Amino acid sequence: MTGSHLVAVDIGGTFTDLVLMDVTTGQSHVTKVLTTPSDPVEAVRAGVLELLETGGISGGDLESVIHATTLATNTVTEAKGARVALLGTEGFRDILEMGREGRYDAYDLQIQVPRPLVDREARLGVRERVDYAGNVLTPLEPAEIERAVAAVRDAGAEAVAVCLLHSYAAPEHEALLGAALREQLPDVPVSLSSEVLPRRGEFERMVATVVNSYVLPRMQVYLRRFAGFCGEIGHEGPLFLMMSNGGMAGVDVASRHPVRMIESGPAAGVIAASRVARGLDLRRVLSFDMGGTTAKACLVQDFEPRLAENLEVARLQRFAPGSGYPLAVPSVDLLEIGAGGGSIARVTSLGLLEVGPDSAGADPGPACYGRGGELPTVTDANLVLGFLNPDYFLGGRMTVSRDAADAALAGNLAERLEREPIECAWGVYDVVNEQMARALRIHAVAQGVDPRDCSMVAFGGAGPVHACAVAAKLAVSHVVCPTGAGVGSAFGLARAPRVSEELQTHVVPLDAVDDDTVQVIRAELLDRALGSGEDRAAVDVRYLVDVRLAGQLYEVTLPLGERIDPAELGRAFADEYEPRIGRRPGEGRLEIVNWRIRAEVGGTGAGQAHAMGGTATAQDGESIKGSRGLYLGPSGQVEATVVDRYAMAAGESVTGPAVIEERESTVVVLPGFHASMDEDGNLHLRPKQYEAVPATLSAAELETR
Amino acid sequence: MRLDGISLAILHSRLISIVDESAATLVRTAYSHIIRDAKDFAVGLLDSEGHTLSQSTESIPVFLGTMSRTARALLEQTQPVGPGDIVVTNDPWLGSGHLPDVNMLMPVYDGDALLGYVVVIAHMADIGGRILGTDANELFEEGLQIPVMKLYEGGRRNDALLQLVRANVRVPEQVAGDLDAMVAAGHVAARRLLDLAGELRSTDFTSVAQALQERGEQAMREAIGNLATGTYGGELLVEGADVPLMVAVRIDVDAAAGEISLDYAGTTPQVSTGHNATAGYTSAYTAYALKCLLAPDLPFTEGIFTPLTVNVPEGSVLGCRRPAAVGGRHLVGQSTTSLVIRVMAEAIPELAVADCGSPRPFITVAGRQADGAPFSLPILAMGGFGARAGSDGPPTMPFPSNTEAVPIETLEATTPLHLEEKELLCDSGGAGRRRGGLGQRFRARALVDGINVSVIATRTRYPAEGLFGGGSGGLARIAVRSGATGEERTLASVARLMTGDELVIESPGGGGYGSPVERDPAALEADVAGGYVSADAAAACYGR
Repeated sequence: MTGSHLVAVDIGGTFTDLVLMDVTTGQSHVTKVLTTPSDPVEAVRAGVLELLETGGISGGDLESVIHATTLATNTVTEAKGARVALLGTEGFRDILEMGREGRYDAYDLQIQVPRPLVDREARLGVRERVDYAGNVLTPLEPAEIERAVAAVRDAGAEAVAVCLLHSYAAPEHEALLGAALREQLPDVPVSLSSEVLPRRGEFERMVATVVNSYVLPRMQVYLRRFAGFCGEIGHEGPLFLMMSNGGMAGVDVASRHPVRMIESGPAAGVIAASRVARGLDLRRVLSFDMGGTTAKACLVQDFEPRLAENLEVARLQRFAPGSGYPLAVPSVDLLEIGAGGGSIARVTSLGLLEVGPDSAGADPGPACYGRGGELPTVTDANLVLGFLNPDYFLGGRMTVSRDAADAALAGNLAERLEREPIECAWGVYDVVNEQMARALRIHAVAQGVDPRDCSMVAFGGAGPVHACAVAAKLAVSHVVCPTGAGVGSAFGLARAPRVSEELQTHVVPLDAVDDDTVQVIRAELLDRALGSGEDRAAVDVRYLVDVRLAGQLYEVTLPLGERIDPAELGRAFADEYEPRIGRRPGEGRLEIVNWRIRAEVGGTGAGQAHAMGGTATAQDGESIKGSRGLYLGPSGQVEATVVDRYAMAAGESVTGPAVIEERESTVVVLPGFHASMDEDGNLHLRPKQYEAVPATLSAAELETR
Repeated sequence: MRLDGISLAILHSRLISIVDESAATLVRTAYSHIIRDAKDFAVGLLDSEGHTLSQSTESIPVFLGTMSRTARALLEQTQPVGPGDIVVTNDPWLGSGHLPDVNMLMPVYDGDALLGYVVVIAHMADIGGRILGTDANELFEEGLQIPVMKLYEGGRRNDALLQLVRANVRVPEQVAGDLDAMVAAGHVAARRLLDLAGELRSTDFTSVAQALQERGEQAMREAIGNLATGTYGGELLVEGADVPLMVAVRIDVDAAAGEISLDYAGTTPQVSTGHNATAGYTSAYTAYALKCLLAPDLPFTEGIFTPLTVNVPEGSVLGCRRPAAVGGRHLVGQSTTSLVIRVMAEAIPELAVADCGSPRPFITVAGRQADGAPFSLPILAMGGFGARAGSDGPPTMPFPSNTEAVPIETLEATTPLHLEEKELLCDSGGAGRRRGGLGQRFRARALVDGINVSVIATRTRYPAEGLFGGGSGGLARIAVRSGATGEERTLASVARLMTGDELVIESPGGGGYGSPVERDPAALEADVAGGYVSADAAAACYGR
């Protein structure tokens, strides 16, 4: 039969989340398995086989497999990428380290900058030069190519990045180097800046190319394995990968340009949260996605996540913009911090408790997993505090040891902090919550939004455990934990459109563009965007141009037809310019800077929009399972109601302290909050005293609160 | 409005996001490299009495320190400032110390009610006179002076003033365009402030400014309270036109009162070249250095000035009298940050930083493109940052000013210069247990005849010094290499490049921290492997 189901797989640093969805009915099954870092496909295999069995179908029944992974991001943040050699124009090999030469914090005398991803000895100058118009000033001689190849070989590089000055205007030299490298060093993958990000701006282009190289060997091995696995289970249809921009792309794109999937998993989560926001008509939502390794925050206004080309990975201390590696590739505009279930807690030299940013990951994982991890993590703390049920971890499919968690806290924290292990556990919980609240606040406020005016959509395995406490710190008065929250990102995957975007810098005055140029550039972009096997008739292709007033930086992205209509583009430019800048653009010549293509094949829109998951029918039976003790810091030990989420009926509510258990996560309802279930199975948490708070606070109210 | 910690934090964040949005508008609509790429500007919001509400995150530190004082001076000289008025000046004594910086003040009215003011300060690509440098003898040579005047009155533009400006500058399109961008940025901030007032249902922001000021003052006093009471002092030399200029300071810390008073008595009298700073400029950088040392996390509010008394001797190079030349006012003015940090380092070694390779050489190039179009822009080549107790100094990072470099690919597309090299400069970081950051070598070849070059640079004789036994950073060097003869000659002030001539800039490195012999062998090995330190220097400076 032709496929009627799809499988969505989201591999995180700690857990792999999977969804099997019937694309006609929206019915779905979910599961969550431990990520297997040494070979992530192992976990996928276990999860997919389980879901196929549950659904009673075979691999051949699948229409498509869709996949997101944080492997690329984690490779950068954990500095576990390839040894990269960088070929740059002679005299300019330090661009990577010098950056824009700014200071991201105006007052910090102890300021730190990110370590360059290529050691200086592996940055090699190549004698060649072109100018901004693409004219060759110094030809790239064959002997120089040979010298460069030999140098890359001698450097023992596992991947090579090539970024020559002005290669966006003249890619030929990079292509020559690329061809020679690929021929003579077939095992060393090559990234050319003119392919990865052909836009003007040497530093940003170089960083994107280097990051691409840095993650590429790991990603290629992995994607090959993944495709092989799809074949093994009899799936003959396509495999798609989630890109940072919230769209999907084929394996060929992903294995050449993994830098475009650096925010793959987080983007899927934001797409899922946006859909929940739309279903519930929440216009200002903080998407809060806490997994095993990191937490991701994204402000979603009017149901659409904002796209930006100012992605930055691996920011250093204090989440400061400018302190990480800038990636000028289109991405969902989100903030990521090193705070997840696996984040390790320690005592610093100043005697202060610190949590993260490093993570125990899946292997060895938190101490309670009993896989050799000895350091206490957030998950260990949550277990000791009573938030997690050791007998119902992943629905009872995984055994965790409270004793091991206790021992890790006692051995590493309690003695040095001179506190009981359980007090340390509360400290870990509180510190990590404070960190996340701060990050969420910075992210919302940076966009001019008061977090108190927002609802929070919390998901990811650890999101619902921490949501209530983080919301309390932010005075957010409404938290939604959707059905399937524990695998929320995977649901985002299941309904994303397929998108392919490409860009080319070619600066030309608007009134000097002829129709031939337009045709040539459009054809080039189309070839780059779509593989040869693509049925081009089924694709919705849009061409766009970035237009600006010559001499200004402000660019407006406008649709481009088959011909250039300068008058029409001029009007459209002015219409976009005016509301942003507050006036009509002045006299001056317009120019096109970047040419873009966006090719889209519609998303699988099946199923209901409200919830992340599709199946929310209440199971028979009593929802209250009993009670257990929670340790809540200053409040001490309290007895909390334990609820089975699957047995809760629409309209049913529970008052904190309570824990609502589901297979993939646990919703912690703190004292002072209550949780109610809506008809779609979403849980809504609200503080009791804040029930009637208006969305916007007036001055008078500010005064009294 | 009574304000608790949360409400004030949220309001302050909102006010900052307003100026940041305004600053983004300025960057996007400005025409000159100095604003849009180098980011030599600041935007601020003041309450109706001229007290600071917020300042843009990306800002030149000194602008933050001078802004509210400038605004109050402008208001004193031009009352009334009504709806639709925009006041400007580039007076170095009222503003930020030299003529290229244009200060703009725009009131924000809601009907008849004055909400506050937007201030935009930006460095113009050119202001006429000699090309920006240190070789003028009096202010009159340094360009057009704009006394406190209205650029707009009741919403109507003062075209006479604009024509006068255009007629006096080398790149009239850029300067007029940038002034226009400043106005656009001001309007964005004004609109957002009106929105906020509407949301709050209040037109009075004075209590917000006051609360910020009080909290800032209190926090600064607490930070000072952590110091040991006592008197600290020191001096340093800055190269002038011919004789060295001495900058001396005495710092009295009263921990119990939470107060610091500084006195620059003993500093060299003002000189007849453009090496003079104005007192306002000096005070702003002095406060900046103390804030960096004592309270880096504190938002910059006027309150941090309150516990500080800064005495700048009138008629000295730090507090010159009109009409002294001030083109290179940052050479001496910014040296106060090095001096204050160096002097306080003995009390708070963990918080200090060795001298930075700063100020970075500021080289203005101006001339005509092959097609006759004029150009004028600064080449900024950042020096290395100083080393700290816990870490090496980062390479090529500006201090205390905070500008960025123009991207090479942008520079070459707009300017008839061809870059031959821009790389880190081996051995320019001062040796030490922690090494100073590296400076860079920058070489650019002229593609047309007649490019005028003007140099503002220091640390060509007096390097960035190390702390606690750390070595000095490498010296700055500015030179022109003749395309015809291959000869290289050092450049101290101005030159004229012909096609094929090369401008060479070596920026200074940062000072080291702690004795070089204590450097971790693995770190030194990595330095040598990467070419940050040569094998010779490893032997000579580190004894390896």
